[in-house]
Amino acid sequence: MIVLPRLALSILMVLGFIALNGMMLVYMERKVAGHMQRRLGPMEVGPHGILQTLVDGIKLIGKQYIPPYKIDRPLYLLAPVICFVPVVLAFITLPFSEKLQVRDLNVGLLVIFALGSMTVLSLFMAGWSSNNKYSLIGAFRSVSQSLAYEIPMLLSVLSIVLMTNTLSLREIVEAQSPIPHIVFQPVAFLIFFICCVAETNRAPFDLPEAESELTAGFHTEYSGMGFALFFLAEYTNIVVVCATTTVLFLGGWKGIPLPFMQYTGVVWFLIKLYLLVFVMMWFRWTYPRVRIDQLLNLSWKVLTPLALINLVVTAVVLKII
Amino acid sequence: MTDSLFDLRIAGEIIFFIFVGVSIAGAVIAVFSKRMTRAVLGLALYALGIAVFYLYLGSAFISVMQLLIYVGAICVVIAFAVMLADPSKQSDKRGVIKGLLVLIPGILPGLGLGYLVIKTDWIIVPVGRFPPLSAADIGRKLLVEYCLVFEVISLIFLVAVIGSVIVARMGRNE
Repeated sequence: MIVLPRLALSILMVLGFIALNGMMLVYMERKVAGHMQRRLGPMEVGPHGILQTLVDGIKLIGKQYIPPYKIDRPLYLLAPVICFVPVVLAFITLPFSEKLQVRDLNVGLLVIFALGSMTVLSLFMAGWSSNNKYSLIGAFRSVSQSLAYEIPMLLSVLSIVLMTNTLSLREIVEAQSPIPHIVFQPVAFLIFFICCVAETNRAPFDLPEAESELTAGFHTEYSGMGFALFFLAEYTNIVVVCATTTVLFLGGWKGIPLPFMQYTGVVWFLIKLYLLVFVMMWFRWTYPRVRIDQLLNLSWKVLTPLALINLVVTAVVLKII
Repeated sequence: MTDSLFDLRIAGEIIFFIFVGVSIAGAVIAVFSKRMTRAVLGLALYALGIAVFYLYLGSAFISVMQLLIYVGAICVVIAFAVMLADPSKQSDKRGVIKGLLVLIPGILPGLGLGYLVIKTDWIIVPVGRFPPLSAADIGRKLLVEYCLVFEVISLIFLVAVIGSVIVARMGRNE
């Protein structure tokens, strides 16, 4: 296949998906929040408020950009961009169906984690450059949080890698042909998903932007499109981690066979993906926020040892079989 | 694979030199920046450039590990340390003797490495001649062939962990 047209098409599809997905997820979040609190959520713009996010987006683009006084200007301007870029790059290797994948990398799984770990640097940049106490505390929390949760996350994934002997996402999906990995690795799934929620800074682990104590945490001083980019990056990140969970544990695009399964597998993939997204939103609107010491204790004293035990047990069982 | 509109090889060369610039710029920022935060981010930029070079040498695995460990872990840990130690505070001036003392641990490893570079008989292999090492190959090399070296390195990390625990404990007593 010719390289450049394929590349251009891939970029277009990924960016289109991200924009549409960001809009729909904001709408979905507000609707889920509304119904969980026995409200209706947005209802005014369009049928059932479906155009609400589009209008909000136009408002954000039109907003004046107000940098505060005495900021570290280059870092302040770069932070939202650096937050957004790695999240988009992660789509290079996500397999939406057997054929719908930009590129199957033989280290695909690691690429996703490497890019995910870069996001925290951008939060640190944003928090520090804003010259604001709330932002700095938010950045501080996000750094310690991501440090703590990356370890159990990688350890729980290692047990899957041990089972499949590959880091390629497509091969991992192929390996769970009749039975998805969640059946064999329920503990790893739980650890991984909890860490995903923590990595994306969502409630109950949304300490970096805890609105009742830190105004908006690291993005307090951002307005207009700077804020919108952070928001879009957060929602895209949710999709990336949920997609990774789907690939690792829920069998990716596998499902009841449809015609043209090589392409239409994407239907099953998206159903599983958005189910996980819904669970994340469900978490957010039902659990109270944890304290920082509870958050760190959970990671270091519960999840990390549990992930290690799980890894050892997996290794032993695989050796015996 | 060639495209009539655009020669990909030239594009590759251009990107390569862009990243040479990026990593040099990162190193310069890391060394000369007065603000600690910027120095940390310069280091991250530099590590990113190095990761791209590994990619050019055909080792995607090492490249990604470079990103994961240097950008994702080490720079984040340094950022953590910087924030604990009041990032806005400017470093105070050192005396001349102290400055010269700092030069010793800086120069000695440099000289040693330079000596090794000159002494070694390099076998120059064109890039892409050998199939790139896969993750499994690297794992086998580390845990079978060079197992002892690998374990000794991890011993250093153990010492570092114990050292940091002791430092933290002593700080707590004050």
